[in-house]
Amino acid sequence: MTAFDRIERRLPELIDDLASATVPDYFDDMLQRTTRSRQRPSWSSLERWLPMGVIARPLPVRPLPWRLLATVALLGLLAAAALIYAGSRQHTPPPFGLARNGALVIGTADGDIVTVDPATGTTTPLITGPTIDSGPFFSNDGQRIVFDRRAAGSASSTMFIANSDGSGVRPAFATGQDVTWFEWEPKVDHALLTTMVAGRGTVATVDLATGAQTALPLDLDVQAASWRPNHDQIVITAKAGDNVTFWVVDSDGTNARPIPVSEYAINEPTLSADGTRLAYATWEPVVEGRIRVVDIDAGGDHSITTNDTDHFVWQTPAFSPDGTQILVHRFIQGTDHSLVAVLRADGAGPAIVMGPETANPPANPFFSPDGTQILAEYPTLKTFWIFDANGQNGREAPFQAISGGGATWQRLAP
Amino acid sequence: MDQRELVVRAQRGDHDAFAVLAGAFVARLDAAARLILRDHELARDAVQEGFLRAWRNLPTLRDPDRFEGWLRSLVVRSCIDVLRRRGRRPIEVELLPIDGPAVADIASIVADRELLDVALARLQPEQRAVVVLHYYLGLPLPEVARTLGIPLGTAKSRLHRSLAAMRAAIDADMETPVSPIVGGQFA
Repeated sequence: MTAFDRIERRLPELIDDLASATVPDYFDDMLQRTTRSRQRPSWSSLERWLPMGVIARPLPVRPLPWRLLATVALLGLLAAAALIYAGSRQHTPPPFGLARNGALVIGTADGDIVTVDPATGTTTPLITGPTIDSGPFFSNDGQRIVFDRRAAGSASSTMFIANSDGSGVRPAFATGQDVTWFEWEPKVDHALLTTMVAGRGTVATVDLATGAQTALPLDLDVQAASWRPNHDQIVITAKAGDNVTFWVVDSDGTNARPIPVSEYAINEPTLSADGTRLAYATWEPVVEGRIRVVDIDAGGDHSITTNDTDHFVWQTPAFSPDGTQILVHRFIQGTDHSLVAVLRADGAGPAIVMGPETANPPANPFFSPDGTQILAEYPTLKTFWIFDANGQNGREAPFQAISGGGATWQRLAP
Repeated sequence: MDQRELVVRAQRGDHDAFAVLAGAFVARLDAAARLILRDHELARDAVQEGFLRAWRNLPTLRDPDRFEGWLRSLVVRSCIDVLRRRGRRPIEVELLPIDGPAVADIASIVADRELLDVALARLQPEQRAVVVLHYYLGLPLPEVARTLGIPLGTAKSRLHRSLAAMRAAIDADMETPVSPIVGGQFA
């Protein structure tokens, strides 16, 4: 018997001895890092099958004057199409920037999606049924809404799409993938999908009407992709060790060039509605959690939070529709306690904090399409709060938040 | 609260639930990463990256009952990613401190462990990953293949080649003559 024969017989035992399994000393620090990172939206999870509950069934037919009916129907269709076209032209907002407030839509404890009057809390059913529907997210043109659907008692979910009035509910994609990020494109029924392929992030454009996907030829480990407003370009967030780099590429994935930002960038950035600026968070070895802004074409990367050490950690920036303000989370350093805050995008003036302080998960704040209000969902408190855009006049909304329910505000033409 | 309930809660943003899950698996996965990468710092990077990915992507996990395998897969793939980013530079072989076992043939066991350590060091990282998943984490080969994202046949042949390489390394090591002591040197 050779030495290896002897070793092979006791391989599990010997290999177990080689590496002692104890909780590593970096465990607490690792958990702290996860608290500072946003979770992917649950609705980005796709099933590997499509429900086939709705199938065409032949109906009994009796003889009819079909020529006359067909002519009338054709004329009716043409008239309806003309009306729909004219209506859509009239009511479609520009894909980015200020818009008129449309329906405010939230998920409810009953697993339905409803529109809610922000003043009175009166709800109107939009998407109902025995399934658990949550996480609604309007397209930029306000015409479509995506949401997460799962069967009661199941954690598996599928991403569905519907028209803004709740009609036309259908699975959003024809094939399941390990989708990690979803962003609407300016064009109706088009989206950007980031998926994991063999452990590496790739991005594709997808036609939601046909399901056709076009992978972008990028040599990057993509973490997220966002459409650059007012440009035929995409901003890519790529993994770089513990940090990320940002790239701007043409809409076909070619001509990638880096955006000059801090080497300590983390998480996905936010883009101003005019597409000129990018704001992002950093995590430096000493100064944790700062917000920086850069002109995508001209550079000039700079911090809009103090670079001095303090006991605050700033994260998850989001531009206001008019590009003058940036919503953030302000954490107390070393804790998972945070407040919603708003910063001037030019860095002038102090931050304005608002609403109640909460532990994880933090609030989900966003601006109304017209930029006059901030709505914040507090999952731990099961409440929504409404603030004026300057952070003042905060009040608890007259409707309830549920964990994972989500909220979205429809954009309409001004 | 059972594991499934913890996973469902963590999927909905409950970080405390995620912390409990992470605490249950981190020791074993950290050890596996150290075995695959043979470098404490790289292993720490890979485990942290794997758990960070897990937290971020947890809402996209379709079946909460698959959490353990899914997490293991993220950490092992992070190990491979770490090596790719490092351009497969040679990694320092690090002999780990060994606690003395309570058995009679201590010398034999220590010697075998050292031989095994040397043999593992001479494998390619992908080969070590197969060996570690199969012999350390106790996964059957179909699960090894799923974890690494490779066909079952590839996993089988990779394990076979790994064991052959380890055998050759150990045999070669056993045949290496002891270096003569240079005159005047004190042992």
